[in-house]
Amino acid sequence: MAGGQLTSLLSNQMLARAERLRLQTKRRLTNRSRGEHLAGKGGTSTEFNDFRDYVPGDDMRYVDWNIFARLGRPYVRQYRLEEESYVVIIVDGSSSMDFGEKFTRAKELAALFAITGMVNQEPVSLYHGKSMSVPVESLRKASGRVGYRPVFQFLEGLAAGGEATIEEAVRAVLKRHRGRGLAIVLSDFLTAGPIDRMLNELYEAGLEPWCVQILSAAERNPDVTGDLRLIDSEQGHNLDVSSVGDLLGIYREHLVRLEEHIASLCRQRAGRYISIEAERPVEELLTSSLIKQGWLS
Amino acid sequence: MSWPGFTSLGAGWLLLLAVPLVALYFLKLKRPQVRVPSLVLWQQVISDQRVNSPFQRFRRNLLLWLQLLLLLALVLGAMQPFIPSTETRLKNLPVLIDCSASMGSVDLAGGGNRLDEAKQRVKKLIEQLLPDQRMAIVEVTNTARRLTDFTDNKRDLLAKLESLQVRDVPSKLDDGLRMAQAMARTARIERVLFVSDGNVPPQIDFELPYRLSFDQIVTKGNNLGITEFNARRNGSRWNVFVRIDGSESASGLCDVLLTDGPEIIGRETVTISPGVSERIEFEIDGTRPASLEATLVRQEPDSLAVDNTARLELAQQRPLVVYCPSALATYRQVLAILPTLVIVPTAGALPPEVAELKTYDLAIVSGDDEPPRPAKVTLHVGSVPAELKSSIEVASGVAEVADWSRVAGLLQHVQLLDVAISENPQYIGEASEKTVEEAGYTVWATTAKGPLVLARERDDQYDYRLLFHTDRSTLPYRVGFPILVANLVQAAWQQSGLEELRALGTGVLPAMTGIPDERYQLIGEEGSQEATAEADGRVAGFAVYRSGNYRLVSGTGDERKLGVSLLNLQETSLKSTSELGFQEVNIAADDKQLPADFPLWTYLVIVALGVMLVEWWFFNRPPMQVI
Repeated sequence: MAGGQLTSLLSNQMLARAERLRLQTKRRLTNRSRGEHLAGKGGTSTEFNDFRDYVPGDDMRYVDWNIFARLGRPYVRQYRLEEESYVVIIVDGSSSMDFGEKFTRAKELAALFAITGMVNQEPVSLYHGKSMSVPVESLRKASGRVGYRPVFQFLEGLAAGGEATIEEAVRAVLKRHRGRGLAIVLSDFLTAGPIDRMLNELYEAGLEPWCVQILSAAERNPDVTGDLRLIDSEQGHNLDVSSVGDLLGIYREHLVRLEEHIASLCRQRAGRYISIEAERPVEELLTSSLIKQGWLS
Repeated sequence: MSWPGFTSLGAGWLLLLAVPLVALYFLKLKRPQVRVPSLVLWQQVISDQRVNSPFQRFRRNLLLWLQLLLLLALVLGAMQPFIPSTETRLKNLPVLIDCSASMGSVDLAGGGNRLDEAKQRVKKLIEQLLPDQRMAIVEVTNTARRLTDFTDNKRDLLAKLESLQVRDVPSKLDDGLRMAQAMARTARIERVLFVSDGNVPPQIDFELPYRLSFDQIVTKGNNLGITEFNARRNGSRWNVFVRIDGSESASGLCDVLLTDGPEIIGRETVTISPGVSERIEFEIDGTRPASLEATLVRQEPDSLAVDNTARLELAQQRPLVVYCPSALATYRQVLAILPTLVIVPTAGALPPEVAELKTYDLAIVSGDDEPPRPAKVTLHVGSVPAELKSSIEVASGVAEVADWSRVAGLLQHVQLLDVAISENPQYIGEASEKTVEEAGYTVWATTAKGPLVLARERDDQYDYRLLFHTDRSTLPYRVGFPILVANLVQAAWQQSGLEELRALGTGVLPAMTGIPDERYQLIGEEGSQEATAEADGRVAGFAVYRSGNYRLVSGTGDERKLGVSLLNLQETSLKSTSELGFQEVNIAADDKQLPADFPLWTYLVIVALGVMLVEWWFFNRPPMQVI
């Protein structure tokens, strides 16, 4: 790796910046185990929350003896409970992602999200859905800076090309994953399957759905014309279209409708949605999109 | 609105070519293959309602539709569609083109004449002829001449049209209409087109069996011309008269030159007022023959040049030669007192100017005798024409004149009442005055039972018949007898051209006196014509369409000069009528030209070419970029 870079996915400056960021979930979907996320109930963290009257059975270690000396009555200090929240990153590895910069950008964003999660002591799991015949590749529960290297190695080793759709990949991930938290799905979402069902399954599994739709410029504004036979990269199906150039307006309308549909589904499930252009560098995406829209802070 | 028709409907079968065209289109349609990430969005697009609208379906197969449109345009063009001009299509159209002198009028200085304009209009019609339409061209002058039979050969029609020339003659439309009527026997004729400037007699004695379209060429001519040119004997001199007429608006100063060959023998300057004719008189020597030519010179532009010159051949003045046998002593006695006569036979020598004459000016003969030489005027005394001998017989008995024509040239101022006649001509059987008229004679005097005086005036030969012999009547003792002989001599003066001469007009020349059975040739600038003199010496049948100088040459080498001029007031006036009067209807000039069937095949070919270009562009659009 040239120039002492930790990974080819992100620059060291980008890594340093990511380490200062924190994932801003809308809901606190945490696990019982102690973690970095403060729970609403009292806990054992070092962050003071309130006082309450002592009742028998309370841990004597939490009695505030200074107040007892002054008031003559025992009071118990309460601290906020910090619970851990899983970060599940699912990278769509189907053939449709193998166009332009889509898959590269997906891996970079996955690294960014993973760094942000790991540096905050969140257990980060990475999944790569590719093919129905091949099990989902995964890296589970990486946390802290020690998890950097395995994460980078995992992501750098990913390659797109398969027929599995994103909802099939999510279903396969949910069969293996346990734990509440956050699910970041990096995909083009160009699937004929039911996206709402996929999001429902994530929601029911206690994962807040964050959908990142990565589309290349050629998908947003196809520069095609004439009579064509379109071939699906995943399924190999054909579709004969005449005067394609005349249909581009309708195509764009359907694309916008798809984006609005996914955004609506995410909103309904207290999730987030963003559509990004694969050609834009990740540094620009971080500043102009992710931070600006409150994904990271 | 008229529905389009097709002249070649059978070509519609070519539309069946659409079947292989569609089949080949779908068989040969090779779409470029483009790999896309996903078909999800494209499938939604294809199943979109808007994409499946009929218009979008049409657009998706635009290339096929363009090819079908191209085929349709070509097939329709091959079917020769047309928009019919009238409710009934004209299959055979005779076109009568006026080629009279007025059609040579140049209305705008430097422009073409009216015939050129007529040719342009007819040319347009010829070019718009459809394959099942035929046209015939008829030239109308003072007669009609068919240039082509009904034909759809445009090249032939155009060639014949271009060959048309202006003739220096007046127009006679009824001849052209009758020719069209005759043509209707071989082909059905719905309508006849007459192209003219309207300088035709406004009333035409013809019953139209078809519809006539009058395509009038708008005219604004300014013309002056000579309409009369004659000479009258004045002792040993000639008084020469020239009449000048013109179009309604023509006026101004003009010079009239009178020349005899290269010699100018008279010159007059006259001022012409609009609508007023002028008569100019010259007096010239009559002791020698002269070839007179009167020329009108205007300072202003003149529309018609042909009527600016008139020609007149003047003979040398001489005595009237009268043949009267001595047996007709009463006639000779009267003739002897009349001036400037030479009566033969005579005891003395004939004057040199009449000695070599081959004809007499007047012959008075008895019974069925014939004069030794042909005569221009002949009086048969006591003779029934040979062709009427079976219808009229001269019976014995006294006849009294029942009636006579007081205006007849021979009997003017002759009192026949109470004249006793001891011969009684009468009709035989069913014969009547009609029988006499059928033989070419006119009855000028009659008894209760039959004719007394017959006359036959043909061109330059007058034949008078007294069916009784004057010696067997009291007529020589009446005052009317010398008057009768004087009338006879006056007619001879007229016929011999020694009293008054008129310039010859174009058209068929009047019969001239010549040697019986001799061949004569009329030679002019445009060629020659031949005719044989009849048994009585009449030479007739020469048709002259150009004004100019001609020579009448006999087989023996005798030559006579003839000057022929237009001399027609109708043509010189350039008067145009916009309405032709017929027996039952009037035909007004059409505001528009006769509409021809409008062929559409050229437009269809243009459409096909346009479609082909669009298809070419569509097929060669910039190459697509693969995702």
